[in-house]
Amino acid sequence: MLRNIFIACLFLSAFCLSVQAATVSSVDLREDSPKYDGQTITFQGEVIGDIIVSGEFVWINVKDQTGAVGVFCPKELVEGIEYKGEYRFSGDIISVKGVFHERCPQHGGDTDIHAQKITLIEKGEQIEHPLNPQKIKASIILPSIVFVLAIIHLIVRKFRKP
Amino acid sequence: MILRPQLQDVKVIGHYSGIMMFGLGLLMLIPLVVAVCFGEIDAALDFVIGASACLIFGYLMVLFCVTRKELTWSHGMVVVSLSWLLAMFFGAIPLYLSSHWGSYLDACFDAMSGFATTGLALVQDLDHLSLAHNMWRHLTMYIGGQGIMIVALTFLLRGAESALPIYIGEAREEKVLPNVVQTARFIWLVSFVYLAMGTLALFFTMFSAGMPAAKSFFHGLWVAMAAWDTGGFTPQSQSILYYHNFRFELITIGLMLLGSLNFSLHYTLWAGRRKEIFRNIEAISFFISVVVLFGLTAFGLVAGGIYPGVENLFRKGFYQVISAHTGTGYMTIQPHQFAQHWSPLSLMGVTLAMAIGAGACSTAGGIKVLRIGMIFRTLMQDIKRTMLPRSAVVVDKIHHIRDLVLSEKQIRQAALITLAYILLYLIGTLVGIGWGYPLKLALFESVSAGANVGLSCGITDPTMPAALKVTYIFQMWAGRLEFVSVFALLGTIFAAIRGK
Repeated sequence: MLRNIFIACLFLSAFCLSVQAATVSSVDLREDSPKYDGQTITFQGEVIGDIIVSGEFVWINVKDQTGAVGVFCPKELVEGIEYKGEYRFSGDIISVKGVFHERCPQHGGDTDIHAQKITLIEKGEQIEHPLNPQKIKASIILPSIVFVLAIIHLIVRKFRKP
Repeated sequence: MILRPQLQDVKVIGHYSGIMMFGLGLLMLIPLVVAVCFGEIDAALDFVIGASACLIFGYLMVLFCVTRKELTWSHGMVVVSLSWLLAMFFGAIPLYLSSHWGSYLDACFDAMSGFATTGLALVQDLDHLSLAHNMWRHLTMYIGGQGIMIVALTFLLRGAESALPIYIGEAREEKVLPNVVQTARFIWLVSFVYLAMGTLALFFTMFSAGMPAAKSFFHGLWVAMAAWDTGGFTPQSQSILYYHNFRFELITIGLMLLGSLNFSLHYTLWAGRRKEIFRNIEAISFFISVVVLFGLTAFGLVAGGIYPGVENLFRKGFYQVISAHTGTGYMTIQPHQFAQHWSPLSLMGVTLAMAIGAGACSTAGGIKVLRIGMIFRTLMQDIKRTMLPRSAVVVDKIHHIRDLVLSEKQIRQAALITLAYILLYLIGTLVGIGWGYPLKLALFESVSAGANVGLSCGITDPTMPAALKVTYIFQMWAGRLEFVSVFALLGTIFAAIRGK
């Protein structure tokens, strides 16, 4: 009997822990924010923009499919981040474990995560922007038309009666 | 009897519209240079195509619409409203070609939002957009804030007073200086000075926070452009929330407030008459309105325990009220939080701030505090009249740069424009409700579009119905031009169909 109770407790505590650090999406954080407010969560997404320094800490912005969240953490935690998402690069995909604040009292009411652990899931990379052949054609033809019209305009102006 | 426009009228309108698009094409060379300098060749092609399309249209119009007929008032009004629509169609070309907009309609939406300094956006994956396209988005705000026509008046049109209808048609009732071209140049001078100051302040703020120099410069420039022009575009999807920086927020508040002042008031202050700010009816009305509406918003937020503490209330409540009242649309909260966290009272405070707007002859939209001040003043005087003997003479006077006696015509005009704005807000609200959005959210988003603000409670999204996108485009266009030139265009189209 005691053994069964012990096993049940073990399962229960494992379940509680999994809820406490559940992997959530930005949709969950948006639609069910009171549930996660003040809880330890895991959020996974791409690092976008830049690392913004704030004293001994830094801010990074992490974006999943539908939205971005600010992540506040000590500088050491972001040392492994190499690529930050922008036009040229897709940012590193990271997993952030930390305490979610719907309206953080420490940061002027911002929605943020105070990170305890950041794990690199996938390295970012350079984004190729191959040139579209149709665009190249249009970029040759249209300026040529402009050039012809400009010459016609100059000729017409010269011969037009004042 | 309605007179059908003659061929010569069409040629005058075509000629000036062509010049405007020619100017727009030349402006596209700025993002093109940025693209080339930073090796964004794919983006550069988008601007080669966009600029070429504008220049071809401009040349064709100038070549085929040759006329000696002078530009009249009605021509000027039609040129303005038509040019704004053309600017949207042509300005959207490079945006659409970037593949960051789901459809050409979405690109048109953002182009109109930029030119009308609204700030509502349908761009997708903004965080990976090129520098060149971001430059163009913010440039549309800078051009639109000053006025597309102001650009042409300053650089392309040589005739001074013949261009007055174009200047007036772009919702600028006041000439700061006697000459309209001098006025246009003064507007540019003020804009460049504040843009330079804002860019520097934001650059140093972000550079000291570890952002690379080039990025700090571009972010500083773009945010300063959109804050001064009360536009609201940002280069990142989280708006101002991306920066997580209180000093950054304070600088944008300063720029938004400067952008919301009447250019006549700027001129007076620059001329050294600083006491004007304490006497001017517009400045006083704006101050009172901010105090009352922030009070309303703050009461709702505090009562609901949403943002406890003075700093939180300032950074969330006050920032959103100032952003709304100046017509900027910068946000330090996420859009869904308006709907989920803010009480109806707080939401009403922000909605009213958006509806009222800021200074006339500024870069802000909305009804304008000058009109509200005039109507309120007249109401007070009417109440006073009822309490005085019938023989008493009450003069409706206001102080706006100088002492002015309000005429019946001015009051009627102010009331009519106010009524037109209210109707515009209602149209968008009804369409929103029709598509199933709750009343308070539909009203909020509609006022934001009609008053050219750009705050969003989450309705503006690439997945929203096309009919709602078109409605908001119309609201942004009509709201920015303050109706008169829009009515002139609609009247001309009607006359062309039904006239004799």
